[in-house]
Amino acid sequence: MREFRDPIHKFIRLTDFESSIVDTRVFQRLRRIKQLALANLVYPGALHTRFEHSLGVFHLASKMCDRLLTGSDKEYCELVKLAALLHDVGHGPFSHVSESVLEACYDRSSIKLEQTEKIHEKLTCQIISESTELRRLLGEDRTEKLTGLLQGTWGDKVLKGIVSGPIDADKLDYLLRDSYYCGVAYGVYDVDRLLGSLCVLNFGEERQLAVADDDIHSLEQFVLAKYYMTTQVYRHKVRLITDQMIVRALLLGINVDGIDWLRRIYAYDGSSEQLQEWLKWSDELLISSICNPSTPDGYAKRIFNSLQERALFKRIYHKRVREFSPLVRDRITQSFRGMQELLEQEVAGMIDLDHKLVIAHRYTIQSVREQSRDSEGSIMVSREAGLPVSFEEESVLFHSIDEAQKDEWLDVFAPVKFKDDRDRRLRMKELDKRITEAVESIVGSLAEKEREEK
Amino acid sequence: MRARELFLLMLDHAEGRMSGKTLVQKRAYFLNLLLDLGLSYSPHYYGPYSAELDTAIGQCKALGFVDEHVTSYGYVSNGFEIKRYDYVLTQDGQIVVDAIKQREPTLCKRIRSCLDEIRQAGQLDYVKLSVAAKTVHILLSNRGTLSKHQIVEQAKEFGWDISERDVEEVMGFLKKLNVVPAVPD
Repeated sequence: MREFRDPIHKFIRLTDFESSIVDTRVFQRLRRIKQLALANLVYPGALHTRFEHSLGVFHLASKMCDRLLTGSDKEYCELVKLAALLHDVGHGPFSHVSESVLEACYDRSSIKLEQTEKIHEKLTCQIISESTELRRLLGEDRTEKLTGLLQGTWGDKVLKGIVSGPIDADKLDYLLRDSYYCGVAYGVYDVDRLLGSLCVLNFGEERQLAVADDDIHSLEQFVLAKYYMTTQVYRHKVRLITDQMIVRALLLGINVDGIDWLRRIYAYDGSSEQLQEWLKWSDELLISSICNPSTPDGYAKRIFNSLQERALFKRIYHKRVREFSPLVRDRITQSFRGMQELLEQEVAGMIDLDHKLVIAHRYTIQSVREQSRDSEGSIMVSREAGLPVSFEEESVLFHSIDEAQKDEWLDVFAPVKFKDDRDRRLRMKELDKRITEAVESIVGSLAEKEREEK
Repeated sequence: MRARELFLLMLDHAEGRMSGKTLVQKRAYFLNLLLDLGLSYSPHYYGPYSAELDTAIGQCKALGFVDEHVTSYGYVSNGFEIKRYDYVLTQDGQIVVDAIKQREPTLCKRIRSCLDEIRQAGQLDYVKLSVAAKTVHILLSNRGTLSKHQIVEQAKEFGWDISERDVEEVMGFLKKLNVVPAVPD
């Protein structure tokens, strides 16, 4: 038995076997991947890593297993706990921020994804399957089931729901942990009460995770915590800027600066060599390598140097998509990629900057992944009498929160400098008008072009 | 065709108004089945359900293409739909629909005529449409003929409470649409 002291859960206890998993190199690497990338530029305390988060997820998954898996299901506890422990081993430098670079650069001729499969999930499972240390410890059968559980191809809805779903152990931990390290109280909810409210709903031969109706308020509190953390931390203006600066720097480093070692990190092709390459890298190593004098000068170095000095891009445009005309709204939200570069070029012309340093970014408060797969609205609420109902129908709060989260925004970031506050206000007002006109005009000409082509 | 466009076209076909989430989900289920539009459906507590379509509905609301009105009806004896969600196409939504029709005239015509076909096959309310979708889901997952009794028994495995009489009532509709093999008594 080994104990880890943890500021969120006090003591996290692992068996010798679980502890040996923690001691593997692939797991220890998580100590070098920060949970929230460069969020510490906004919240200085946000320096926690994927390592302690993974331990926290393991701890909460253990509690969920104790409550939900009874009788013959107990045999699955170990697998679920191990899946929770290892669910993040595939994270690259800067955690989720890297995912979009990986998504853009992986080798599509070697890697074929299933319809709902995500590239980082595939990579995580390959790491678990191919790590010599993990394979020796887990054995073939356990490795297969564990990766199946992480990919959603093995296990029933209850087991899957603990590892990945709207109230999985991952979210239960990260809200509390991120809140604590950021020094905010937005993510705090009554975790013990919520865990105590979880139950299994029998659904014919199938089963799924549900919440008892007399404890629905603990779920509402959790949903509110997630909403506040999303608006105040995960979608904080400066965090959006730093995330987008990292993505742009890495993509320009690969595609324009031609940094070959950087390309090799993200050109995931499923080979063991490439996987070893991926596992070498951490946040600090990547920053120091890009900023190293031996790396040729270019966009990546310039942007990462700016990040190091906290000389951040400014948000020069911020518009709710709903404020545009209907056809523009439709275009921006359905095919933004097709107009992004055109918009960046237009804006660059307005402020006399290199267009590669202008970032047009469209986003919702809630991520698209959460909207489609992880909405709490679909959680079933078990009732003593009558059929269960969805949380969306039962909760008085959920509806308005859910609507607010689906709001979409268009931002533009660029390395501009304002002389003073007055200058900032005047230029922002002018840019607001000109960028809005540019967006409308780009959408109009794209539609015209499509009509002509038809 | 994306789920959002499909939802807006369905609303347009229904003269700008649809009542009930179940109706939207199940009508789209048949449309998807007949035209193979690529929407993914999975069995949910209340029948086949598309999370993709649900997300699209949320987006349409957020973008102002659709207004949602919620009416509470309290509890119904079989526990079905306590609140009714009505969707109304807004003027902005109509502009988007017109643009889709201009952009994709052939597909839009196919969708309209398929929706006409669904309507002509039987004016089912959302409860019956839901039974019909459950029946189709069971029959298609079995890839063969099942008796009404077997359908009812299999429905129980999904937690779906339907009777042989319910199945009987929707069979005419399903036969007209030609989406399932014949079901023996």
